[in-house]
Amino acid sequence: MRADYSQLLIEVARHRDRTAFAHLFDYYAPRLKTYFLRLGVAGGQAEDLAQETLLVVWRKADRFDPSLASASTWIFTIARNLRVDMLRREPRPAAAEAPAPVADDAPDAERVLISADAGHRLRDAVGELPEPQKRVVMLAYFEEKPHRAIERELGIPLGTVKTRIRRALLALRAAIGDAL
Amino acid sequence: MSGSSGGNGPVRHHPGEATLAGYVAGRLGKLPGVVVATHLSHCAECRAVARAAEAVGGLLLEEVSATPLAPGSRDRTLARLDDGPQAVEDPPTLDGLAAKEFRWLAPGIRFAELRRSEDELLGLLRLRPGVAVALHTHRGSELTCVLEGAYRDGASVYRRGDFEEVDQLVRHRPVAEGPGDCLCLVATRGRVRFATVLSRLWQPFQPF
Repeated sequence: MRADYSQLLIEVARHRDRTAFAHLFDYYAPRLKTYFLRLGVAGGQAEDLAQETLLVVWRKADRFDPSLASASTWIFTIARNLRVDMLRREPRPAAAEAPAPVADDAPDAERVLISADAGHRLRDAVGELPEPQKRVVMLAYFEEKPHRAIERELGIPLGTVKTRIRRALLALRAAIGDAL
Repeated sequence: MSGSSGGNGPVRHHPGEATLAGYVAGRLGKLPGVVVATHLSHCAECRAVARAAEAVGGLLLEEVSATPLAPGSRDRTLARLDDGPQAVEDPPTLDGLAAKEFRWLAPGIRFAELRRSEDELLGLLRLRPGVAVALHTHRGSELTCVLEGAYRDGASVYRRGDFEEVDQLVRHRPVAEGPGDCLCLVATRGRVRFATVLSRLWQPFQPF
């Protein structure tokens, strides 16, 4: 299925194919709306931002390179950039809680390169993440939750939040490494 | 696999996973993001990690539930496809930012502001060899990427492409190494007014 969305993006880029775009819209816009809602954006604005993301997809489709990223990954980065833009304009009570640095003692060998072929392996690895790690990663990525807020919401210590994020990313990294 | 890039030896100091993930998730803020992006331009390994983290974001996007859109949402969007291209701003990069003039901050220390927002400040710090500067924010975080030269902070030496992050709990006291000046890209984030940033953040010290 995912390959189909990449193909649809290519159709949009090459032929300005509106039918292909409509399919992309139907799949991604409701998910993007969820994404923005979880970041604390109000309903109407979340929908506007989801539409805006898809409009950027239409305009920049020729920049999509399926050898570098999946359609979902590319569209995520567009939504993410809109989010960064939005953060700058909106008041943000959480701003004082900048992400705290975590000691980076991972050996360099673990900093592996990812190829597009590793995408499927990565997907499986995300699916296989232990539920607590997955939940923490989800909160960190998809909700406007500084680590302190995750600590409160899940009732686990801040150190555990950081450890879980770190373990999750290391696990994903290792999975990608295996695929190379 | 080699970690070397930039023609100046390997990059040895990297952002932590939490910072990279925050950057990828868009939580880090625009100006601190420029410092991370600058490090990524020097470090293929961290680029790979960032790309992996973006792939995670893509997968999570597929996993979230769909929220129904308002009626006619798709048609309204389709009707806008032919509108002229609106300004879509890519995240800023160091290359795209113009620095103001370097201003004297203290003996051997000059600072050129690149951009600032209500609680973020991005700029270039130029240190003369042997000059130490105590950098710490009142509260918030501070990210640094070395562009030229090197500085020593405790037992570690930071060279071109190296990345250092500190929060308010960490005191650090970088000293520029010779022979040339050390030029760093620095971003701070925290609830500090710019007027107090200069007095609190860039407290100069003479060499030991």
